[in-house]
Amino acid sequence: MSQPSSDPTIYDGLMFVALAAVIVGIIFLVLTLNQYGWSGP
Amino acid sequence: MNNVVGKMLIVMSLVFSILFMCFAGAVYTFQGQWRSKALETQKELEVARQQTEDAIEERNREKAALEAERDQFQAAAEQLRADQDRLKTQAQNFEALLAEAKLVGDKARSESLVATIEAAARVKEATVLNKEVRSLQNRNAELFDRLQKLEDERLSLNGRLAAAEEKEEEHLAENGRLKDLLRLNEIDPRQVVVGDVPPDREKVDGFVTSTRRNKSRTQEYIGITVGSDDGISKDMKVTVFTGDKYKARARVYTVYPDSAVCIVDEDTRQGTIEEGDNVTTKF
Repeated sequence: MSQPSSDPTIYDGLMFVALAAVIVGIIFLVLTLNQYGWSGP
Repeated sequence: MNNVVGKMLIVMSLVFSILFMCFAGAVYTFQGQWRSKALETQKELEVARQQTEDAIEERNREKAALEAERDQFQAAAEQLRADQDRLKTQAQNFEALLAEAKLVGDKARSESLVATIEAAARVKEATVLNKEVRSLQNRNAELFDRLQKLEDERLSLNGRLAAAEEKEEEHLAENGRLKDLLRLNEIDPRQVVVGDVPPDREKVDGFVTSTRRNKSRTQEYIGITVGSDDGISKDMKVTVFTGDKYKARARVYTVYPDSAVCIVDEDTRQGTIEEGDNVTTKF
């Protein structure tokens, strides 16, 4: 039996916002590591 | 219930994600300053290290120079110590010589004192002897003068004796001639002479030695250089002249063997009589 499709709630938006914040934070850290000659994993 | 827990987890995930983003942004934002500060600090550290190394190198050089200088000083000190020892030895030798010289000097001083005393005594003796010698010299000079005078007198007497002998011979010859003349004229030479016989005048020349007047200045006395030995007799007339100038006539007043004193005849005076004028008995 199929589940009825539910409408995205505010919490789904918050989840995306949190994901975006994590990605931005990771970018900041990568940029910072690049300043010290980090060549990646 | 599941919905509540899920919602709480979603909110917490959001909060922590935002906090992570903020911290990462803060780190990215301030790491440039930290890095520049770290680089500056590293540069300062390099400079300080370089300065420290330079200072250490300089200190090492100075240390080496000081060590070399110390070695030189030590060598000089050794040399000075050797010189000092040598000079000490010399000083000891000199002190010994000085002590010996002092002894010799004291001995010489005492000897010189004795010699001085002896010299003073000798000086006294020499003074006395000098006085005696001077007295003897004076005495000798007096005796020599006296001897000279006696010799002169003897020579004068000898001369006068020779002149008298010569005159005696002349007189004897004249006497013989006169006796012969008397015999030739048939006159006995032993016949006694009766009456005044005018004196025989011979030419006698002399000089005036002195002139003097009497107290009343009415008469002038003159001394002449001829006397009885020359044939001058009392009351004989003499003529005073100088050159071809006649001055006066004078009468012999007192006669000595080799001189005479005359009185000037004022009536015959024709000039002033002076010492050195000529005198003659006849022209």
